[in-house]
This record gives sequence, structure tokens and C-alpha cells, in this order.
Amino acid sequence: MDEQVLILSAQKGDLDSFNDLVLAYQESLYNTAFRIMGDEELAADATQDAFISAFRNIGSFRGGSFRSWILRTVTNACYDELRRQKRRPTTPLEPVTSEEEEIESPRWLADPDFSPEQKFEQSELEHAIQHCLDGLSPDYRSVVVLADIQGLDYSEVASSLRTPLGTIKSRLARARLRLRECLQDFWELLPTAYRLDIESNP
Amino acid sequence: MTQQTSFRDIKKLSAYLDKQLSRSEQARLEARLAEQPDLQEILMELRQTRALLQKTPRQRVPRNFTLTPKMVGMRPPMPRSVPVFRLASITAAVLLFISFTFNYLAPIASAPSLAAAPQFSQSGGGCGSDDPADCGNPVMEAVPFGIGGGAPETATPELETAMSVPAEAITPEATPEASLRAMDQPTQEANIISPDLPALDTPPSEKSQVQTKPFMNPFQIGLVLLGIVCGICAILIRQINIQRWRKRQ
Repeated sequence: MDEQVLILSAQKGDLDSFNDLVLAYQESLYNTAFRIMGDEELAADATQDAFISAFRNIGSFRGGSFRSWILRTVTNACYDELRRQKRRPTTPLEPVTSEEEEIESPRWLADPDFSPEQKFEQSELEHAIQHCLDGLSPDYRSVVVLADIQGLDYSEVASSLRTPLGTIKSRLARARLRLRECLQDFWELLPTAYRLDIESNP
Repeated sequence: MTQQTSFRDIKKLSAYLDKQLSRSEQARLEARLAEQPDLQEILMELRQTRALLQKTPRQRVPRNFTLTPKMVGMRPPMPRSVPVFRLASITAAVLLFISFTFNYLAPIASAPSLAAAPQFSQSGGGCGSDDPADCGNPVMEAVPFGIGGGAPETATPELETAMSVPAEAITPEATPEASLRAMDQPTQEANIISPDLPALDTPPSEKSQVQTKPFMNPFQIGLVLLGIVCGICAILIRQINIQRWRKRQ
């Protein structure tokens, strides 16, 4: 169904229409939250909170890019959670074996679409990127996640984060610079396929 | 970043990657890129970084994030039958109240006609029995029914004893305590219903009229029973509907 029709129905309180929008955007929101939070559980919570908040405030949506509007709710939810964590820091519980060794992500190991080698490469790449993203402050992280990972243009990022366009440009440039420096440490560790692909298709 | 490459240049290179520069800015930057290899190197590194980020594996959503009415505090609409049953309950309650009110008030309203029964027996001068002993003492007959608060058929053996006292025993010469005791005895015992005992002085015809007059006739009893059954059914159906509604919340 047309997105505008669904939005209008949702604004009238139709939860089923809103749930159609949820299904269309949940992957995007969850991935954004995951890249900003760096934790699956927290990302899922932030995504759920974002959708609840979006439904309650959908009346305030006055047109424009619904994608950037709904991504704003998830970035706000992530900021709220990060602020909470700053006030009450917690130690994440990593899955470990009986020998105290960290377990590889069981989700990737269980993914039937990838060969074991591909799973390993994906895991390495993901680990490197997430490590470097975690090194950024939330403001820079959210800009780079929205622009480079989610593929939003500058105006959409500015709308999502309610930040001036010039600030977005500055933050994105600085974030890319820092990520470049960080990823250089991982460059040799990155899968060959990725390096070749990037170098041949810049 | 070299000394010649400032953050402003990095910012322009980053925007250039995303095609966010104006034509004039783009032309100027491309001219510089042709002259400055270090700028080209930075541009390539930024491009690689961006390409790597764009290749970030997509995470699968762990679950669906669709909302339920409970999550957003929405209450589902009440079943359409609930207002009907609510109205029916009120109507049934009012009708039952009216019905019971009339049934209780009707005997009270007709109480004076019942009270006239003993007077009728006195004026008749007989007790309806051939045996004079059954008729009791004329003095005691003069005692109105209202003293004991009971009906003629509520007489007891003690009452009979008290009533069989000769008239001479209840005279002005007798002690006031004795006369009071004699008067009190039927009063205290008259509240005990003894339907087996014969009526004191009510004629059989009137006695049967008083005894056989039912509290409610069968039609009224049927209506009341029907009302109760309908009320219980309404309550049950309403409860079932409310439970279903709560489950949907």
C-alpha cells in the first residue's frame, strides 16, 4: 500500500497501518540502533521504543521524508539509552565458554546463507567497523551511520538529527577521517576480498 | 593529513565524495586534486572508508517490532453488546425493585381489613364452635389482636391456659402483677406460629380466606423466576464479553 495512505491512516489511530510501516522500516531502524549502540539487546529495545514513540507522535509528522522522521525517533531513543548508560554504567555480559573464551556470534554461525569462510570474513569486518564506530562520540557516530551505512543524503541526515546542514558536513568529514585512521589498523586484517573490491571499485 | 591539507580541505573532499559541492567548488577542488597528490591520496582513503562502511553487513532483525494495542496504551472498543446488556441490567433491576415493592406494600396496605376480622367475630357473638369451652373467656375475647401482635391462629396451649382462667380471677381485686402476667403470656407466646392449633375465635370461613391468600400468585412467581434467570444470563453473557475484551487488550 502507498506509504502516504498508511501514514494518514496511522495518524487517525489505525495501528494496523502503522504496523505495515513498522515492517517496512524495522530493519533500517534496528541496524541504525545496532550501529549506534553496538549491542543487539539494547538496539532491539531502542528500536521498539522508537516505534512506540513514533506511533504516539505520528500526528506531529507534517510531510517530508518519513524515513528521516522515523530515523530521528530511533536516534533519539539511542541517545536516551546512551545517556542512561553514562549515568549508570554497566558491564556487558559477553557469551563465553566454560574456559572463559568468548563465543563467536552465534547468529552468524547459524546463518545458512554464508559459508564458514564468508561468515568469518563478515564477522571480522563487522568487528572492525563496530570497534571503530564505538570509538566515535555519539554525535559523530550517528551522522556516519545515517549517511554512510543507511545511505541518507545530507538533508535527510540533518532532518533526522535536527542539526544544521553545515554541522552535518563537518561531523561527517571528521568522522570519516577518524574512521580512516582507525580502520588502517585493521586494514591488513580485513578480508582480501573486501580490500580488492574496494580498491578496484572506489 | 599534510600541513597543506587542512580540515577545511578534508570537509570539501568528504562533500565532494557525496556530490554535495556546488559546480564552482567542485571545479576548484578538481583543479587542486590534479596538482596535489597528497589531496588525491586522502580522497582515495576517504573513499575506501566510505565504501567499507557501505559494505557493513546488515543485521537481521531479531524479531518483529510490530506494536500491540497494549504497548501503545490503546484500549480496544467495547463490544457492541455491552451497552445493551448494561441497559438491560438497569431495566431488570428497576422492574424487580418495583415488583418487590408492590408485593411487600400490598399486604401492609390491606392490613386494616385483616385487623377487622376479630371485631367481626365479637359482633357475631360466637366463636364458630359448638363447644363453649373452645370459645374461651369473653373477657379475653375483648383483648384485641393487636396486643399480642399475632393472628388468631397463633394461639398456644399457654394462651389457652391463660384464656381459660375464670373471669373472677381477672378482676379489679386481683393483684396488678397477676393480671399483667396473665395479659403478657399470650403476648409473648403469640409470636410462635402454631398452624396445627385451631383458630381462637375466627370463623372457619374467614380463617381459610386469610390462610389461603398466597404472598404471590403463580403468575407472579413465574415472572420473578423468569426475571432472575434472565438476569443471571445477562450477567454471565456480559462477563464473558468483558473477559474477551480484556484478552484483546
